[in-house]
Amino acid sequence: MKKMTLTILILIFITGLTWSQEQAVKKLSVTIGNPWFGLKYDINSRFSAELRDVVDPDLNIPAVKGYYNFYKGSKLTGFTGVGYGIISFKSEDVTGNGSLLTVFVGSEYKLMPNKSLSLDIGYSTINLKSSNYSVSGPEYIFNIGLNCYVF
Amino acid sequence: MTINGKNFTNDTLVNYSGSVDVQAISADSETYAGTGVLGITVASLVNGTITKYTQTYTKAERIKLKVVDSNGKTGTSNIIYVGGGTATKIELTANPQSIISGQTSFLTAKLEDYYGNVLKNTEIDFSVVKGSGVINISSGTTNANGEVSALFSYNLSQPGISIVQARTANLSIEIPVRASVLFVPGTRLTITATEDPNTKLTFPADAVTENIEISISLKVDLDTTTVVELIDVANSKLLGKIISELVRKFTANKVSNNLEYGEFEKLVSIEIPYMDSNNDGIVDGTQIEVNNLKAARLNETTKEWETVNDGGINEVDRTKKVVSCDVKHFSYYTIGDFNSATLTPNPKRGLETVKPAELHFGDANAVKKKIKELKEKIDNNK
Repeated sequence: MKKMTLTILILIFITGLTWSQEQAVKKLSVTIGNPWFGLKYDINSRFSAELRDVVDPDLNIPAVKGYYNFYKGSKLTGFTGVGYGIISFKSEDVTGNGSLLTVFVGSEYKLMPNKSLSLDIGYSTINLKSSNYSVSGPEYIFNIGLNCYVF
Repeated sequence: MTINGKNFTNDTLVNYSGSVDVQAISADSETYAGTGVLGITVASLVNGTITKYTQTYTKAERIKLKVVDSNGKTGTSNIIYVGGGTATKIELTANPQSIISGQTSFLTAKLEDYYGNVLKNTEIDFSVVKGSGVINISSGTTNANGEVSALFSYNLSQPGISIVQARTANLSIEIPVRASVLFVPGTRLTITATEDPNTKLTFPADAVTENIEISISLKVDLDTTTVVELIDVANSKLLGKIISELVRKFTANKVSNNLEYGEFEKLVSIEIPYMDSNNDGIVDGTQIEVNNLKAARLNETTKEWETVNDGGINEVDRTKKVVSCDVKHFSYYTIGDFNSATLTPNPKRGLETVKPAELHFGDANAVKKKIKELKEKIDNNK
């Protein structure tokens, strides 16, 4: 419960931060991926923040991701960053919760003026707990997505 | 006891001095000796007489005293009624000593003196000093056999062991009477131990195919030192990892022949409680983590506790503060941390890596792999 409250507060804070910055930068995009749905905001040319959640009937992983754009070209952007998500899952067999912490590196390629393709690979540590049982361990995660800039 | 030497005219032989043998003979048949032991067996007459103020005899029966002098002359006393002495022994029996709730057990208390003589007309008090149950009389007077009889009845729906006491002014004796609960096929049943209401058994319908008697015993109630020693040996192999006094004996015997039922048709749930009064996740008085508690069954051959894995659950319920476990058959059970390699409490224990990292397409697939590992872990621990 504490984790959930903390996450909500962080999300509210970051959301507020991005919206307060929006007036100056106006680089908000809707992100769609494999499978997730999110909102990404370019705080400035170097930093971006994203809120996303997976689209899955058994899972819920609200996550916040921070991006550092170490390369910025006319069409290609190279980035690295860190993300943290809160996991809750429910199936016929097992129900529980956990967390996911990921460091990632990737790039974004501008296809059209308001659309770009994003690819990244990350190293993630996943912790899950159900009743008195728990597992923890690393996984590699590859993501592909489409960013649609709306503002 | 006074012995006088007399002549044919029944006059005392005042000039006679000499020894006589003193014997006890049966009052009913003077050709037979008494079955007890006489205290004074030789007396010396002076001036034709002797008086002994204390004579003893060890058997409560009707006797006569017979004296024989050196010339074979004999004399016989009147009948002497020898009564019992001070009570030094009390016996108490219960028949049967194991009953099904609703039945009665026939109690018999018996008093004897030092020499084994039964004591009649003596008051004996009865009471239930531990457990439940009722005795139909609080006291009674011993009959000619030195016995008082009473009926013990037990009507609770919980199995238990009652301690029944018989007491006189200076003696007492206690015996256990084991009460079991009847379980009938086709019904469901949940029972708790009278001595520990948190120890619970839950029988699903059709767990048995014939009527059985169910009983629960705590370690303090185990009736043979052999079993207690067996348990102590098993406990000694896991010092610090088990709650040594939390041993429960569950029994299920067929009503038809009183033999053990054996394997149930369906898993039966047992619950054994633990103490964590400050809710710190550590069992009181130990270093055992509550989350690591499992139920274990005694292997009487290897004298070891073995974690129960009968195909059902074996897990901690921290809300009820019990370990719940599904079992195929009854035996001796306890709870403890049977997998921990260290006694040092470690809240992070259990968060171990299950499988090496793999590449996944998307967060959801990575998390689903971990959910699968978690499911496997849960299944393996059942």
